[in-house]
Amino acid sequence: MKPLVNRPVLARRAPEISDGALVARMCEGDTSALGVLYDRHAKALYTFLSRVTSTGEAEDLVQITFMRAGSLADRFDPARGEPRAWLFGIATRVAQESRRSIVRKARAVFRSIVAPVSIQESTKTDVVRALDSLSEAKRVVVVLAEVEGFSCQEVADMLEIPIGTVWTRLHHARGDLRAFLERGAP
Amino acid sequence: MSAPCARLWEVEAERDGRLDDDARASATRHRAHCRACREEHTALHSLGRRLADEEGPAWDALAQKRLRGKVLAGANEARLRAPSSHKRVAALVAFAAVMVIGLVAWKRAPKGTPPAPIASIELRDEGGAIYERATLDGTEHVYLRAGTLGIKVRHDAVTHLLVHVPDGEIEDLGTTFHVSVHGGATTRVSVDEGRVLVRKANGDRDGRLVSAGETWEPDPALEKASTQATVATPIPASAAPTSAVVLRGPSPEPKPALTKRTVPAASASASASASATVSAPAGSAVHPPSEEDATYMRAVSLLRAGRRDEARAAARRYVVLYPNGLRRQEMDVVAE
Repeated sequence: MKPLVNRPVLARRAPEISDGALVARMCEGDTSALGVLYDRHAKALYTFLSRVTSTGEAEDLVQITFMRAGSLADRFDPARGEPRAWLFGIATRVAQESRRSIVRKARAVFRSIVAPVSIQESTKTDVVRALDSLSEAKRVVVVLAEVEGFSCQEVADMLEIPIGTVWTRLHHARGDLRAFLERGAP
Repeated sequence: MSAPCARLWEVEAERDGRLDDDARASATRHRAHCRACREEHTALHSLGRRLADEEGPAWDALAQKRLRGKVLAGANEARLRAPSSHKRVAALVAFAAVMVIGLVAWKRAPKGTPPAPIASIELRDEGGAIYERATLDGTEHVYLRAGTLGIKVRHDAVTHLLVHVPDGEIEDLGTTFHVSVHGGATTRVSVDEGRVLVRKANGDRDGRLVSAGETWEPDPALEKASTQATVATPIPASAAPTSAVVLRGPSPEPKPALTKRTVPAASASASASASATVSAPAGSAVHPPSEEDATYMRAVSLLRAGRRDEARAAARRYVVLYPNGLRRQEMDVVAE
């Protein structure tokens, strides 16, 4: 087993090191490389996970995403895409697993009791309400493509679905969002 | 708002990366003179900007740092728990030994009769069957849209058979069987001889095995909870069809409101009769079935590969099968 290596100096040199190089260092046991990757992408992942699941769960899911990235670093293939897309792919799968979790459902029930829906809804913007009105499948696709800026092919690879399905879901998601925003929030 | 333009679909197609360089340049030139397309372009762009500009929920900086600590601590712990190289080598050797023993035992064991290869397939309309058949890369594909179809498979050549239905697919494992599709869903699969594997797009990925004498029907509770179908098996872009037949038999059920469309012989991609009448429901589903995606994707893939004649034939097939389809306008252009 390679010894653990913590290199504080890495943080000062971070801007010069690509994400791909960081993942390569993670394979060699460099835990601080995972820390730099976290510093670069955790906030974006938190925002993404908040939109496709809920704000209450997002922090836990970010943690699971990076833990899994750390253990799967040796499986990252630079030829198949950028580390950012790879991270978002992991986050998407983590979110899907979470949705199926019984524990997650129980927490959602608890949260709705502690903070009733009417209070939570009143703080949301029209765009957030519009996104919430979409089905999960459409919401994930439109957030990845329109908000996070991934190409349709990258989204298809992340979700492991055909690109035709991505195009179809995007088309319907855009239509639903436009209709919702045009008629105004209820 | 301006009157709709026949090329409006190009705005979204360009945004999604579906247009090649020439088509993109053409769309840009067109937009300079078309108000409707300019408005659509602006609307899509505005929607995208509005979504991207929406600030995410605030995340306390202290909470971020705490989580960072947890992540790194967890990563270190995981590495400490990882098996040593000695243990890994021992596990690998043991695994290899088990594999070798298993392989030797398998080779020596008397084998059951594998499914014989397929020579020909008989299709029989058993009630309002609307279907199409194509051979791609050694696999026989049958697309059943509605009605009941009897399928008999002879076994003496190498071919694989897949029956595509609106909400999944049925894989032949050596059999005679019957499939019924009504209202865009598979209602019944019964097997006379052999076995089939029924895979629903929204069900168990491994599918349901149906053997001789058995009948599969959907579970009403599961069907009620199901979401839209996803794409099942897109057709490989490199494959070319050898034959395609579109038939329509008499429908035993009261017909819903239909839009009829007669397909001239020149535009049909099939080797069927000189003309065929294809009927489709007046309204299209909110979410097109996976089969439509696959048909569309095939035409696009052939076009991108420079196989224009085949792309034209595939686009015409799309137009025949989905006159109200989501990408009808785009396929009309390719089919010209």
